[in-house]
Amino acid sequence: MELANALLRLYARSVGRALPVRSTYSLGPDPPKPLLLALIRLVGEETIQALAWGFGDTLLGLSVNWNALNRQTGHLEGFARDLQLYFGASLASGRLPRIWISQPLTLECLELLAVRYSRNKYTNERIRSFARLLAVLVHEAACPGQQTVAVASDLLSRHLVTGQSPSEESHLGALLAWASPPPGQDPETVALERARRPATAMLSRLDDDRVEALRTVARLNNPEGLAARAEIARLLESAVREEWALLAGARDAFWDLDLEVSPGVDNLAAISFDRLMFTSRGRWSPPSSVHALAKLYGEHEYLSTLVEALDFRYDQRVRELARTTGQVIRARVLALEPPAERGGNWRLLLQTLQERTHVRLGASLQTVDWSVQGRVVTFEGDMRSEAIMFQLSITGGIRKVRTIQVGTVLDWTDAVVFNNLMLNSMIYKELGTLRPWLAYGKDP
Amino acid sequence: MSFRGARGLVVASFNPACDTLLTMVALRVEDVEVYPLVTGRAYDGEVGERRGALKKGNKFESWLYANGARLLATVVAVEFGLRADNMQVEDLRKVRARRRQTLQEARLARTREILQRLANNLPVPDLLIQPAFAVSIAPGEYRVVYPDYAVLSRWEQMYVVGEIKAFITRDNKAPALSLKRTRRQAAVEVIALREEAARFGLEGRVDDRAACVFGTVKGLNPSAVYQERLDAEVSEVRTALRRLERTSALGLGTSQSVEELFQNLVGTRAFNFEEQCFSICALHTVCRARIASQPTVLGDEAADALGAEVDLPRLAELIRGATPLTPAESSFVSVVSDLIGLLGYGPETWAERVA
Amino acid sequence: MAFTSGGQPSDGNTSPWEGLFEQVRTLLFSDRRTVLIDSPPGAGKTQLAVRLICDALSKHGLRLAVVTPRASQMYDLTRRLATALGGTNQPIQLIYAKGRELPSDLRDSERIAVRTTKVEELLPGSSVVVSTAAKLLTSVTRLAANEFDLIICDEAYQLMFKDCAPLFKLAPTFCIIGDPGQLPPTVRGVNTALFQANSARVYWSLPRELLRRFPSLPVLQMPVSMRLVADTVSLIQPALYPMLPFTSGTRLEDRRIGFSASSDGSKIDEVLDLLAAGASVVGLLLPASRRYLDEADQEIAELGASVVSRLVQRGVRWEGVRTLTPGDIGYVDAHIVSGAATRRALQRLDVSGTDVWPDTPEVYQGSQRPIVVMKHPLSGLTRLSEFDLSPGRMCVMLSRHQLGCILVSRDGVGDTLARHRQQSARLLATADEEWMGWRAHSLIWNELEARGRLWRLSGLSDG
Repeated sequence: MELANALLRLYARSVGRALPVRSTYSLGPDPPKPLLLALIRLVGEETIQALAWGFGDTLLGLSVNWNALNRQTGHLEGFARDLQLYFGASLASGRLPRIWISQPLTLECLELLAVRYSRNKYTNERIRSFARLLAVLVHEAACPGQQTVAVASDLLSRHLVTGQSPSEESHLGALLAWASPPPGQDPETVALERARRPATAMLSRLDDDRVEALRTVARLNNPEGLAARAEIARLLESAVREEWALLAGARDAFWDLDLEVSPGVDNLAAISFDRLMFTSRGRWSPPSSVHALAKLYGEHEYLSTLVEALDFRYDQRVRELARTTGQVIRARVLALEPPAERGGNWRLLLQTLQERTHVRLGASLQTVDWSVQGRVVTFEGDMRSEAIMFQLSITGGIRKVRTIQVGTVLDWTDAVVFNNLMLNSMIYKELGTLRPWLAYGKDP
Repeated sequence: MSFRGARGLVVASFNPACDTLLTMVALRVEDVEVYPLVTGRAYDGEVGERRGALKKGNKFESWLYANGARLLATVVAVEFGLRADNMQVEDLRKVRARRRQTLQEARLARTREILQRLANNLPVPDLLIQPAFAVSIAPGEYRVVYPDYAVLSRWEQMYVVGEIKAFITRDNKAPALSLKRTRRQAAVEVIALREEAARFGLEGRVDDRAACVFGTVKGLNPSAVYQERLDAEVSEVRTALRRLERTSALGLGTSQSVEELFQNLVGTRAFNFEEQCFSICALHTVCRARIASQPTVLGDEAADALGAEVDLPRLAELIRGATPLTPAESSFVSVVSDLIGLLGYGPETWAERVA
Repeated sequence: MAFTSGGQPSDGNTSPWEGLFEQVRTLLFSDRRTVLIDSPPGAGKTQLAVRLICDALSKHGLRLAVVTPRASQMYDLTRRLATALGGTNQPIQLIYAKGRELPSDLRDSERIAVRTTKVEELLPGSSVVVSTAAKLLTSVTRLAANEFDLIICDEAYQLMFKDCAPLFKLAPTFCIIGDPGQLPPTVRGVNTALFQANSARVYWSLPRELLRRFPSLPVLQMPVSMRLVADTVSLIQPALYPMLPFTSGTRLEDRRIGFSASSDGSKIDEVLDLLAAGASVVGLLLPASRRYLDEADQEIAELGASVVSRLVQRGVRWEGVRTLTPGDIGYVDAHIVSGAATRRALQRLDVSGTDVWPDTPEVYQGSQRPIVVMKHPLSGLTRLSEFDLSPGRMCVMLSRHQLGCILVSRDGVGDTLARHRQQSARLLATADEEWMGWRAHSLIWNELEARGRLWRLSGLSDG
């Protein structure tokens, strides 16, 4: 994959724009009113100094806090109200909410806010419940395949490759220079120019120093103090508007890729919706105990293999790239054998000419369309054709297997792991109830 | 990060293959001072730590040092099996210089007295606030480092260096770059402590680890102490020190003006550009421009996969349909066309599309 | 393709771990304490488990379960139990996943009292239940608390803590046996940074997480490898098992290699003769540079295949035991692409790819072969990642052979290691795997160099 990635970067550089590395969107279409949030943090404290939010391209609110050191939450109230209303209304109407942010750092800032205020007795209930909702969002954002939190820089990086280095690509402005190059300009030059300013939800260095210098004066209740507050507010507002524009531009650039939406996202959206219905109800808190973490791990393992399998099924470019690494195996059916005895399994003999394969004795494979599943029971090399032959003991999709013709070519991949979320949940619920010493005890 | 003082050693350890960077560290000049010398214009990018972060750091340290480092002692005591109320604390910031002695010399002298006592099995303080250790970078040349604290480990009968950082940690998670820099800084301090300990035959007791206290989401409340192993970081700093000694030995900067020196270094490509340069050195734009025709501009991994020596413009020509002239070029064209075909970039061939 | 299972103790009456066995018995059966047993490669840990089971059944009348990470390990253990308990009437019960086809010998064995996919069909009372950890996990809610008196976890360093934690309800005592040098459990697609909570590292291996949380749990160490010869042990123990001192329990005269045909004077044959002279790990190196954009490194693939071919052509023998067949030779390669290239190269040299199947350490883990050819995991690399440096991967590769191991590689590995810059992007309070791997690789490479085991070829034709 490293060589393929390097060649694609080189190719993108040669053609002067980013190239899509997927043929489908991994994110479902935006709802009619997606919520966009841009913010400016205070470096070091990681508190929010300014935020701008709105639906689609319409800026709805903008608020700043001239003194982000004071732990006051007044500037968050407007967004807190709108976010909660938006979430509540979306879920009540059976629609999945969608919130766009520019980069992962925004999420980290929201996570700290959630931790600070979820149970903070010095703030009001609206902020506490807002903080709990943020915890839900942060939890959701980490779930493989989730469809609620759209992190623009991550989405663009997963769908595109640019003609610059991955480090440079992590700057959203520089990434956009390649994703939607300004007409008549060299994307590399534009990207380098943009990278001179930070794009990590913070003030430029000059403005930051100015705000820090003004902070002491701003505390005074006199005309000078008021003027200082106004200047801080102006600097923050200007910065957050830029951040908002960057986010809106990134969202536009993403949808301008004009890919098909993967049919698999419906499935993922349903999972996202169910999860949100659970986590946003009552006083859910992020998993931290042994059983909750173990259960969550099982869910993430299942979801990540599910997302991969959906990509292999519906996205041709992802599938072809996976063939170059052996994660997807294209194989021809050589023979189909009925069970040797009652209760036994059908067997499928397959042959692949692919250079790289992940075929392993005992591995569970499924066709990329999920219609047939089997376990590898034999595999061997063919001396003449340099092919690999392997036999599957069919464990799922018997009806389909019976209709497969010898000579048919099928794409295979690793089967989705342990997809019984209900059972996973039961097992770890019991663990949490019984709390055996080796899992919960302390060293004497 | 500053290129001067002990922090320069941290910077050097990030890219010890870069002669330009090592020379800046050896000459104690900042990258932003060199930038105008080689470009003819002032540097207008980010420099150093932000004021807000700096302020918070100072406030956090002061909080831990307050009342005879009571809070710091409480945090540290738990990890080192000590009793906070019994701990002997010595604040070396309070050391006064004698006549003909700089403050730095005075702190070094007091730190050495303590180590001497340790070697003689005499009672020593459990906790030292900002002791001074000297680390040599060339014969006769050294830098003095001041760990935020050092705590006596009764197990080894030796001090363990300690760092206090205000950045926020939670459940073993910390900002990656800040953590990396902290570990490197602590590694410099470990090496310096070992050098000091060697004066008294105690170097064998110094372990490659540091005790770190970080910020949390709860205002100025500190985290528990994290004892971090620093084997890798110490090894990296040692490599940088060896190279630095060589750089210093070359006597760079003595026969030319600083301006000429750096113009020559950058002009003769005596630098090593990597992706991490973006986060450590202001000259990264200069160096990047000089290697624009090499695959390194596509990233470290790409350079590795394509071979760092290949000529990017030539590869671009091949992509645009130029005739391959060598077997290597034919191989390149074949691999690229296979990949482009596989991903189906348009109905026409990739060469036609680009042309 | 025949994978033989891991090491067994010598045929003598006393095992090298007899004293340890007594200690384990006391801890498990008298003190009723959970025990961890660390084992070097080929120390006979499964054999130890079998003896413990026999003891638990015959002397204590216990009801116990034994779990393994993989089905193949479960089959192997069941076979060994069937033999060990052959003359008794102690029931062996096998529980396996629905849809899995049991090997015919286990399907037909009369020594297995119950074969089932449902835990409800298990017989009550004193017996041993054999299962994979995954199968027992999915059945755990249908089993009573303390269903068993004891659970033995074999190959425990391949089991994730999260898959075992629910099993803790099933027994008051656990015996956890494994090889700490091997690969950790496979993480499939999960961002583990999200699971670094202080309360539990659920994705860590069972013994590692238990020891993090219970540093005072008794840990016993198996002292002797019955697979590896002293020469190999002296190479890998300091590098890959710094916390587990062990020696070789083999006699040099029992592990000698011979050839029916003499050398043709080539460098490959010279190196093979070095094996016959008693060196157990040797290396053949091609010049550092390789062909442009050749990810698989065809020349190394051809060199590796040539080594296998010469071993076969020269009629390699395990002196005093038998003439070896291609099936006795393993080929380990950490990368799928170069493994595939070697397979094709072997086919071109008329060595049956079915017998000598180049595969990854993940697949070879837990198996042994008289002779192993391996492609050095750092061959041809100019930048080293944490994956490349993984000590577990190198450990598996260097500890599968009973007689000899020939590594093929590009030259310059030592220089690459010396140039390597530690990135060490680990989380707080987490072991630095990259450093550990780098240290182990550097020690091994330098030691091979010092022992004169690395033979340099000027090109493929020089072989």
